[in-house]
Amino acid sequence: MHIIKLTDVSYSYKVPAEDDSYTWQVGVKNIDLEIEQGSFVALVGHNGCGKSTLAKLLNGLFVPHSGKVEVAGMFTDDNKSIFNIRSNVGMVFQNPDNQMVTSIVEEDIAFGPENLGVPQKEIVERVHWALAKVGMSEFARRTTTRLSGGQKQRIAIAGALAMHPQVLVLDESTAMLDPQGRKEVLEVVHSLNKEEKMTVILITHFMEEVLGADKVVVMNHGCKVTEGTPMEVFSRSRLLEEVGLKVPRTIELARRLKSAGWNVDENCTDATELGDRVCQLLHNN
Amino acid sequence: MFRDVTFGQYYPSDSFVHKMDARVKLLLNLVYLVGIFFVVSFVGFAWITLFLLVAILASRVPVRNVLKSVKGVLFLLFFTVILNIFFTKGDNLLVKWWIIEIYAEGLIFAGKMFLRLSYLVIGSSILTLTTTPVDLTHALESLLKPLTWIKVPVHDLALIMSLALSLIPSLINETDRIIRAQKARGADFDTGGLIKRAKAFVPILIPLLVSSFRRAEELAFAMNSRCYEGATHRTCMRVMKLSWRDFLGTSVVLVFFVAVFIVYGTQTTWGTAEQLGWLYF
Amino acid sequence: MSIVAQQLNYIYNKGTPFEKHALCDVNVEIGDGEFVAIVGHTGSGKTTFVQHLNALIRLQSGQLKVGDIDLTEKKTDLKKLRGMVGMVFQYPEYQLFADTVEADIAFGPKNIGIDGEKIADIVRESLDLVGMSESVLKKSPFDLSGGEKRRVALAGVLAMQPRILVLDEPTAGLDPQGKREILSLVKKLNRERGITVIMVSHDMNEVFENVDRVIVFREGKVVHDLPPRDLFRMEEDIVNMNLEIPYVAQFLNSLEKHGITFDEDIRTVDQAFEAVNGLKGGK
Repeated sequence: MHIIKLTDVSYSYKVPAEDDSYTWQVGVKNIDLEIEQGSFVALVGHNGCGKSTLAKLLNGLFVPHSGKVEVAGMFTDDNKSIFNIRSNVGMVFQNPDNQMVTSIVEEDIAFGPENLGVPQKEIVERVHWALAKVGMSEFARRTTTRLSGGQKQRIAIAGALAMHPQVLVLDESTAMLDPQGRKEVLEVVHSLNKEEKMTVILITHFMEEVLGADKVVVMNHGCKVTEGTPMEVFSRSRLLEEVGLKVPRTIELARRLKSAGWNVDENCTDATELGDRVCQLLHNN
Repeated sequence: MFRDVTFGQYYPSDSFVHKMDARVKLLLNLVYLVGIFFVVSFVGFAWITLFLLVAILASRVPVRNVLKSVKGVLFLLFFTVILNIFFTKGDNLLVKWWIIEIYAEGLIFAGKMFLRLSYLVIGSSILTLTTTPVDLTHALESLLKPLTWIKVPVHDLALIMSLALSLIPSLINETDRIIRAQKARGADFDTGGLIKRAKAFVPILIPLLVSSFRRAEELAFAMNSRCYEGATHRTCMRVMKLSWRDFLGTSVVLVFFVAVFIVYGTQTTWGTAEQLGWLYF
Repeated sequence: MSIVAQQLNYIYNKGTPFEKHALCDVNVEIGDGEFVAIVGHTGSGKTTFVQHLNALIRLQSGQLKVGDIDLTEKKTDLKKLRGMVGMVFQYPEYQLFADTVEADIAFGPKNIGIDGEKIADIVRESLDLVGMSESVLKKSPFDLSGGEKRRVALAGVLAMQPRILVLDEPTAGLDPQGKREILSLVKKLNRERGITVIMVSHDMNEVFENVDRVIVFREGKVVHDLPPRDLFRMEEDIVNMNLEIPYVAQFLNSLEKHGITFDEDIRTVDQAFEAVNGLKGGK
């Protein structure tokens, strides 16, 4: 069953031109997309391809100029449902420093439920639950300023979780992190997807990050170019190249060896394993 | 580089004063600030000194840290003292040299001014050393709540304060980064005349402005995503509760300052200022 | 232009409870025309080290010579030094400020006192170096795309005609295409212009594919200083330091364990494929 459904969605930005008039610049164009409840979807594309615009359409920060965005049976152009939609679709943005509302960790996480008018006692429970889910319980009373980038993003995730959403959207939330921070964030969202059956939409241009996804959606110039399982998408390497993306190195090597006649697993993601297999083949003959 | 504005001067501890309610501390600080203006004699200042020592002891903040707060206003203190020494005229001339005349009254007046100003700062810093800026914001919001009746947007103001507190550290980092980046491009902020120096700040201010706007936009998206729509229907996680400490602390402070008021306040109203003469101030 | 650092030590917030020993007896020598990567965990001291190179951080103890400038001396010619060592910060596009791209690129050369008449030529040349056309010269830098802004910022540093280029995570936040463009540009500067390049990076794949030498910082100390192939052979060590092993290195290590080695220096997927495919009998 789908939790989010986009039908022919388009959105453009107003760009001021030289005289007092303005022109329109395409954000996304004619997007059709269904996202299954409980699935892990990766959305990839080069910078400026429209993936962040798409993210903001998912919780009604932007309302489509044409087409419909349906979230859990509600439509984002219906003003009455907007808060219901936003509490259902938690968002985490790119810059960890620009999404904190207060400087105490637990108070920041409480911001969402406070806005929703959740009773005080329940907020405390939600905050503790959310902190535990991102593995940061001991940071409840700390200030946000001296956390690492990865920790800040986990707090931002907890802030979204405290609204009890069904969907979590990460809008390039790993782009500014170091490898350690990226790992932390990915571990948290994967475990949320598995344990809490949370629907996750991960927007990224690190192709290694899409490996664990159920579905990959590739975008270019505001349009959906292709979608499928990670391996299906990686097999369209020419297309990926055209839109400025790259197959992860190990898979690229495996696929090239395979097409040169080596009997290796073309979906191999572990370089050591691939090396072992190559040696095995060499020894056998 | 360590400049954590979020903490301000906050000195982490579990003391009696730390555990008091921020609202109570804020109000008691006001009582103190007003009360200290009734103190007119050195004996009075001795009592205030005792009072401050008790407060500092109860806050378990090292005296050195408390005195550090005076360092910030040292220039102002120095200036006031010098002015008072040279420009207060009286009956007891001590030194006369060229056009400079120093009177005993000037010295005493300057001494009291020094004590009064530094005690103002020390008293307030006990508040800021034991209370985080976040708690102070909450306290202000709670105390000013009645003003919402006359349409003062208390909640919005408090939110702005709290946003500022959380954004300032990253803004400082950003400024630091931009300064370094422009220095690496040969920018010189330290030499040249006033105009040249003012112009040198353009390459810092513009990127800072641009990034502040970007921050503001991203923050607005983040707040909207978390269902923010102003103060309506909002609940609050933080509950502020009064404890025995607040009653005890309040009693001590009030008893002390009522005594101060009785001793000094009455003298003023009876017009003993003239009788006291220069001893008054 | 070579760099010689001996026994560098640096302590932040000396004498306060927040004291932090950021550099500990660092000895590094970098020769003219090298392409070096500096890697290490966040807070390992790598940024502190590179900021010493153009005196953004002043020497506390130890000796440092950059070209013919001795930073140990009290008075260093900062203008000359900063012209010699170009420093590209993380997200350099955030330092753009002028009305036009032209004025922004000219900022650096003007500051270090390059002749006014020459500057116009240098600006055009720098823009050309980063692969942008002259048509953007009169545009506002704020109207460009993210990738273009970064290249303009880079041109602003190149316009100072540095002999040493220090880049702090030059590809952070870019998409794969943008990363490739920046890296090939840096490589070109190194190969064709002989500019010494020092690149701070978190991306070990990027490091493995591009540089000649890797210096690893850990808790303020230099713990490794090796060619990339040798460094990433020590898998356990690398993992312990919380760094990643490049995929191609993993593949080569696995082959080596089975006794298969190659004479050529293999860094990229292409090279790995060609080398393996050249072996007889696997198909």
